[in-house]
Amino acid sequence: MKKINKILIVLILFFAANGSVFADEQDDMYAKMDSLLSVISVYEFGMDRSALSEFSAIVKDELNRNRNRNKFEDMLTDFLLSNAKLDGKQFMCEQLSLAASERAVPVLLILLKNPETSDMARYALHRIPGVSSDATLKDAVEHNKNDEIIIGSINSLGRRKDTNAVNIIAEYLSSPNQSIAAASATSLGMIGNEEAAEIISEQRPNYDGMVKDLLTDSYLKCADNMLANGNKSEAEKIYNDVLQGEKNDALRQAAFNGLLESKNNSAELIVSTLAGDDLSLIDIAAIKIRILEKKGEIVKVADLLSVVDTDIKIKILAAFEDMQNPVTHKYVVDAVNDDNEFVSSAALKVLSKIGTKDDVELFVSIAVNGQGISKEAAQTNLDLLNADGVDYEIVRLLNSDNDELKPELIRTVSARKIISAYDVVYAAAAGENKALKAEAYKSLGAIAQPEQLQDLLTLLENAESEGERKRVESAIVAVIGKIPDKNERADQLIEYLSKTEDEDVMRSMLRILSASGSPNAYKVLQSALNGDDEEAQKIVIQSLSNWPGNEPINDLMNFAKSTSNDTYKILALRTYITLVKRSYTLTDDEKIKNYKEALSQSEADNEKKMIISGISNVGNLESLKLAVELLDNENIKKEAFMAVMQISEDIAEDHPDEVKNVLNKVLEKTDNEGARSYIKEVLGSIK
Amino acid sequence: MKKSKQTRRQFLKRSAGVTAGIVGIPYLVPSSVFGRNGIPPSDKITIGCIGYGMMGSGNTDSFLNEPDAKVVAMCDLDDEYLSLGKNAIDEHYGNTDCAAYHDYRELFLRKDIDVMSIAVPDHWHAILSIAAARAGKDIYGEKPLSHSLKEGRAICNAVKRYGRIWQTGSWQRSLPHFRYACEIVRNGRVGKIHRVEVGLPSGHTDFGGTAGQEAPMDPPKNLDYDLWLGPAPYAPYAPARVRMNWRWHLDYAGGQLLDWIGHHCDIAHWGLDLDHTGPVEIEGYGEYPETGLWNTAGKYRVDTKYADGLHMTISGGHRDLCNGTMGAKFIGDDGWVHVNRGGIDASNKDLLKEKFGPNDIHLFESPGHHRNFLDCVKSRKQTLTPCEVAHRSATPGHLGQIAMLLERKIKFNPETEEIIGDATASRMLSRSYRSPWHL
Repeated sequence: MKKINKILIVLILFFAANGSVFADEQDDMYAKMDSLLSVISVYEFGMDRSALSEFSAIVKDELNRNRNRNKFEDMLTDFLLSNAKLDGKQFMCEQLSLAASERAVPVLLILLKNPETSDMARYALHRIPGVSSDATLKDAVEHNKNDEIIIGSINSLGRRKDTNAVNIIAEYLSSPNQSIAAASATSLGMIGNEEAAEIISEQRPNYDGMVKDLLTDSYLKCADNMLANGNKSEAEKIYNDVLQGEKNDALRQAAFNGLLESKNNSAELIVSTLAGDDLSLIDIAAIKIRILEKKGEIVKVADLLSVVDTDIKIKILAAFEDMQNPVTHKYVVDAVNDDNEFVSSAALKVLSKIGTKDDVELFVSIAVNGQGISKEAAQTNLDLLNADGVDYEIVRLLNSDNDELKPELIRTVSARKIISAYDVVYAAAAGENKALKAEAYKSLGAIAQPEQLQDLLTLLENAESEGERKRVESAIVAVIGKIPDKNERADQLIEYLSKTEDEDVMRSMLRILSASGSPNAYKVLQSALNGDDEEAQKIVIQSLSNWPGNEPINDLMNFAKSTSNDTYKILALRTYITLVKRSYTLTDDEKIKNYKEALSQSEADNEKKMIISGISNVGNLESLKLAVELLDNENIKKEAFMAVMQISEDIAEDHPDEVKNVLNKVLEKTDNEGARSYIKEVLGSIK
Repeated sequence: MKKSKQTRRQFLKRSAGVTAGIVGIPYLVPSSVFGRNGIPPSDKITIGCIGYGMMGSGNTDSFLNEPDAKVVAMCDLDDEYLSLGKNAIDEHYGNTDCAAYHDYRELFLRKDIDVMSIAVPDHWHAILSIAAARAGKDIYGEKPLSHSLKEGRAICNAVKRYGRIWQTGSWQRSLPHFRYACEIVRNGRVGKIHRVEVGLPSGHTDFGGTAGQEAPMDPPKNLDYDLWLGPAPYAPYAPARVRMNWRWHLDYAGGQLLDWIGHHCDIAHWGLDLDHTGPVEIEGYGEYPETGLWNTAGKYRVDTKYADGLHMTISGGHRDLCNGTMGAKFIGDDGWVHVNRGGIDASNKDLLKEKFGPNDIHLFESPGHHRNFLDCVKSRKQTLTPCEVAHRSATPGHLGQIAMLLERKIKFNPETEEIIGDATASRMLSRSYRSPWHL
């Protein structure tokens, strides 16, 4: 028992002490608010708003606490009743829009009825949940003569979806002020319940022009809500009412749209509309084709493809493309043969999604013999045709005697990556037909596997021109890329290189090794770079620009420093700069160090410009300093200036003082008016 | 690492080339079903352009260059822009036929116009878009779709109700390398994705050249300032408030976060097939300026979680994310792929050479963003970035803004689009309009 008493005493003391701390903290907050409120009371737009920011922070903190907020709220509403300036009151209404409860509503009503403060009161009332806000807004509508207040309050009631406000709002439909009538018509739709629909149904015939259009829009919103709530028959009545009686095309379209959505069977209506002459409804019917599911319904639409105008054919085919229903197949194939190339190409698109292996020949024949966009569509969509047996059919056709189709077939073998076509494609590459060879080389890269590398090396040996050799190189690079282990990629090639005596093949191998990314390959390239075969050096230097890593950077710099061949030096520097610029793994500091080294070796302006371009992509103070130093060189001054500005903009937020300092110095030395105004613009934007 | 902040000038400069460290890939732009080789059989599509500042001029130019489109009207409440726009159109066609409108309501009365191209400040998006749909126009609208989440849903509803075709200015989806990156992800080449880092710009770029010009003054005669304010709370004119720098004030826009959410978050959603859903948990922290007229977050970070456990981080000014730059970085069990306007990169470079076969997922290959829109106006097919997609792309931005402003985690139901168990945060899903404006 004694123990329990002790615990109780401790707990009481704890809460007493902390309760006092909490109360102190709250009192401090009120004191701070008081002091800020006195500043805000004289606030006007354009003045320092730091007190407002501080006050917002307090409001935000308070919103993140779970405690009684009556006094807090009262302080905000008291401010609204004070002699504070309007701009401060507007700010306070924004705070109340988040912080106020219904407790604040009576004060907001006072502001709502004053034309000067009505809008700002609604900023808060719009967001305060509960019937008090609704009642206040209705009060303002009913007991006010100021049009702007009435309009605003009606709009707010609409947006709050106050179902009890329907009758009050409806009374203002007949207002001589068109803006009030418009607000009333719109708000009825925002509320959008059955009561609003009834009123609109009665009142709509009494109006015309803008108010009638807005009322009809609201009527349709009511119908949409009915439809969403399962009241199809009532919704349908409204849609039909508007469709039959309305002259405004847009409203008729919306009604038709809703009607098609609401009907259990829309097929007849869609078909008759597509075949009819009511142009304003055809677009809606075309969109709604997509809701059809039954075979018979879809066929009825498909039948139209043989009778309707080109524009409508394209709309129907667009729907069929989305639907991907095999029922349309026969009709789509017919449309592929349409005289109009837009129709034909639209049909080919559909066919790529619903076609079968039996359609391959149709695609290929248009891809070979077609014209313009049909030809292009046939090629693109043959590559995408995804059905059982399509690849088999392509290989079968490739093995046939029809040479005319073969280039296109080999092209699609590549796009579709049909590995089983390897033998026939390889035969074409090794054959005599030049048109076929070119396609076959490209295709081999896509379909050849690492175990077929030796075949490709044989093709390389037998290549009859530099062009052919380059194409085989590309194929080999693609094939070795399929080997996951980087060293394994290169080892077979290195062995081959050690045995070949054909100089052309050796050069090719160096280029291929440069693309491998293999550490073993790099050793070979390094050795060639440091060797005495100048032609090999040149190939290595140029090829290394494709190297996927930082390894060559130091070697290239050493080469540039040591070579006596000026051309090679320039080439090495260019590759060096390319690799530094592209590197993801070098730090900014390392990059700057590399650029400085490159600058020390560069004599030509072109290389310096390349370096500047790299420097400008490094956003730090060191890169800025380096770019500024380069401004002194007349030949590259323009590029250096752009780099200075780019870096300045990049880092100004983190280093405002340093950037200002640098730019002011540059400004002092700059005569060019355009440059000066650019500097001033950037300086002006630095906070 | 390089900072992610990027000004418009830099963007223009860099978008022409390749950003350091990102591999540019060659690509072919496919021809349109209708456009490249001739004008289709039907009449030309007539277009009215609203807003010529910021994105408006670029969109107008794009439509002018489409052979089956005819820009017949320009509308801007700033007479200087109006004149610039009309002159550009007239010069292109070699006549003086382009009609000039100060007030969009007059433009919408024209029955002979098929399409509205809308490029105006965000606080005007919903009112104009819904009015355009109600007028039976197809719409090319700028991102972000809306200025609040509820406005976004209202736009989607109106576009659906009136059966309109909508394309959002999220044109990155029309660039082949963005599509390719998304195909890599969709086809599982980097494994199951568990995290996406979306990198956006930070800070406040002085687009209008009016930084610091914050003292209230009379608006210039060329600008109908009251109409410009429209539904936004009253504030006196100051140069820093308007002309492209409106982006940096929460009454008119959502800062860098909402400006760019419709680009890189849009790509993240595309890559992950999240076009019809949204996050379930959102936390954020933003650095909002405490002084000056501009009040949008300069540096920010929004962490979101999706229903399947995926984490998406959206940030500006955080160099430790998204390779220290912009774009969308998809991180999966088997590696990562990162795409931005400079190009595409991946943990496994071989991925960047892959060609997808017929059994792989192929995303829509756009003939060009404006071209795709015009094609869809004719075919009545959904565009590459329809309204719903734009709404979902912007959703993490709207919710992130709320989480940052309240500094607390919020939970969201993407089905009902309601914030769960947080009445205060829920209030921020919509905002009141100045009288007499309404949706």
